[in-house]
Amino acid sequence: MIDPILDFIFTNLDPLIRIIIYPGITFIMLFTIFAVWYQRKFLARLMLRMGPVHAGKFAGWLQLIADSLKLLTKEIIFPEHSYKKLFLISAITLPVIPAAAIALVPFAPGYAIFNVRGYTGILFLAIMSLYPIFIVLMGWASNNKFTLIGAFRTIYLDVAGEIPLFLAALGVFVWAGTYDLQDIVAQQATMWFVIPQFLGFLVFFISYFAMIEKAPLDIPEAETELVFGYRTEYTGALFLDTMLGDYINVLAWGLMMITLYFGGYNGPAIFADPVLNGAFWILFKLIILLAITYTVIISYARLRIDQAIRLGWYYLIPLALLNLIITVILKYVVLEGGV
Amino acid sequence: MSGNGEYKAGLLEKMPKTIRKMFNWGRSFSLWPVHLVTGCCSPEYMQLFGPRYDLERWGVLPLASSRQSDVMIFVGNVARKMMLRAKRVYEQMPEPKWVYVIGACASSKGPFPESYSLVRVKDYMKVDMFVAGCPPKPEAIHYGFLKLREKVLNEVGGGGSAETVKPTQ
Repeated sequence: MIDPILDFIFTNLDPLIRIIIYPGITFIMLFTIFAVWYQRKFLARLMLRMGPVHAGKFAGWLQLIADSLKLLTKEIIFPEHSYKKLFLISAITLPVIPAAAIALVPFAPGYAIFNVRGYTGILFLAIMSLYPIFIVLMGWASNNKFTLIGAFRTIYLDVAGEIPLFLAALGVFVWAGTYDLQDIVAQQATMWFVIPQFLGFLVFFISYFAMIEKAPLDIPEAETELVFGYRTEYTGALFLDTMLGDYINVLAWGLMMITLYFGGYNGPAIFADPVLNGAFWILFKLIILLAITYTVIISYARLRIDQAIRLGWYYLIPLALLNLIITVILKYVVLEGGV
Repeated sequence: MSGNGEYKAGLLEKMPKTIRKMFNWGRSFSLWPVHLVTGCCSPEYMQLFGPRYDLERWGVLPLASSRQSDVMIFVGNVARKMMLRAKRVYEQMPEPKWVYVIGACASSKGPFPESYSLVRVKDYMKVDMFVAGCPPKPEAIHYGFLKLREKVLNEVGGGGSAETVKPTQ
C-alpha cells in the first residue's frame, strides 16, 4: 500500500517540491502572512505608530497567527435568502485563481511550478481575468445591498483597469518579441524593460492599483461607503479565505510586474545556486515593491467611481496605445531599420 | 450557524486544555472592536488608535463592520432608541463576542439618574468590562482593554457573552 505512494513521491520529487514547497503552496501562504504583517507594521510606522508589538517576542511577528486562530474559531453566518452553496464555493475558490496564475511565473532559469514554454504571458493574464468573476459571484450570493454594489463597482473598475493593463503588457510582449515569460525574463539580463517601456510601466503601475483594489482605487470595498464591499457578509474562516485571496492577488500582480519590467530573478550572483539566487532577488524586489505600494495606499485619498473610470478610459488607454505605437516604431524602424 | 444568537459553544470546551489555551491566546491578541458611536465618550476612544496610545500594539484593529468584529463597544450614553440599533449590531456579530462599556452614562446612567430616555447597557446584555469616568481618560480605556484581554485569555468555555437579559422592548 505504502510502496506505490513512496515510489510516486521519489520519481516526482522535483515537481512535488515545486508545487508544495518553494514557489508553491508553502511559499505563497508564508509570503501572504508576511505581507499582511509587513503592511500593518509599515502603515503603522508611516503614521508614527508601532503596529503589532506584543504578539510574539519580536515585533509582533505572531500577530497574523493570532488573527487566523481567532477567525478559524468564529461562527460562520449564512445570511438569510443567500445562495448558500455559491456563497461558500466562490469564497473558497477565490484564492485559487491568483495562486494558479503564479504557477506560470519563473523563479529561476527554467524553474516555474508549471514549467511550460510558449504563450504563458497571455495565459497568466487570462487566468487573472477570472478573479473579478468570483468577486461578483460573492457579492451576488450574499444577498446584501453593500456586497451587490461592491460587486458592480468591481466590474466597472476592472473594465477601466484591465484593458490598459493588458495593453501595457502587450507593449512588453512586442518589445521582447515573445509571449513567453521565461524568455522575457532571460532577455532582461542586460537591461530591465522598465527603461524602454517606461510609459507602459506607468500605465501598468496605475492599473495595478485597480487590479489589487487598494487605495486610491479601493472603490469596491470603500470602507466609509460600503462596509467591507463584496466581503461584508463573510465571517470567520470564510472572511480569512477572502482576505487570503486578496493578498495572493497582490502577490500575483507584483510578481507579474517584476517579471515584465524589473528583470524577474535576474540580479548579481550572490548564491552559487541559481534557484537560491533567483529566490533572493525576487523576494528583494517584491519587498521593495510592496513598500512602494503601501506608501501609495496610505498617501492618497480614494477616487470616486466616475473619476476612476475616466482615469482608465481617457488617460490610461490612450497612453497604453501610444506606448504600443512607440514600441513598434522603436523596435521595427529605429533598431532594425525597416518593417 | 443562524445568526440569531443561538450558538452552541460546545466544541471548544471538549478540546484538550493545550488547544483551548492556544485558541484563547489567539483570541486575546485579536480583539477587533466595532465602533458604534452612542455618545460623547467617542473622541476619547478614537485617540486609542492614534500615535500616542496605539492599541494596535495589542492586536486591536478598529473595523467598520460588525460581521467581522469581536468586541461590541458602547461609547457614552445609550438612549432607548439607540439601544434598538445597538442590539441589532450586536446580533449581527458572530460568536464569540464580548461587550465593553465605556463611560458612566452607559454603565449606570451617570449624571442623569432620573432620565426618561437613558438606559443601562447591563439591563439588556451581559457586559464583560466597564470603564468608569465622565469621560474616562484614554489610559483608562486602554487599561480596560488589557483587562478584557486577560479575561479572554483565561476563559474556560467557548467564550463570549451570548445571553441577553431582557428583550429590547
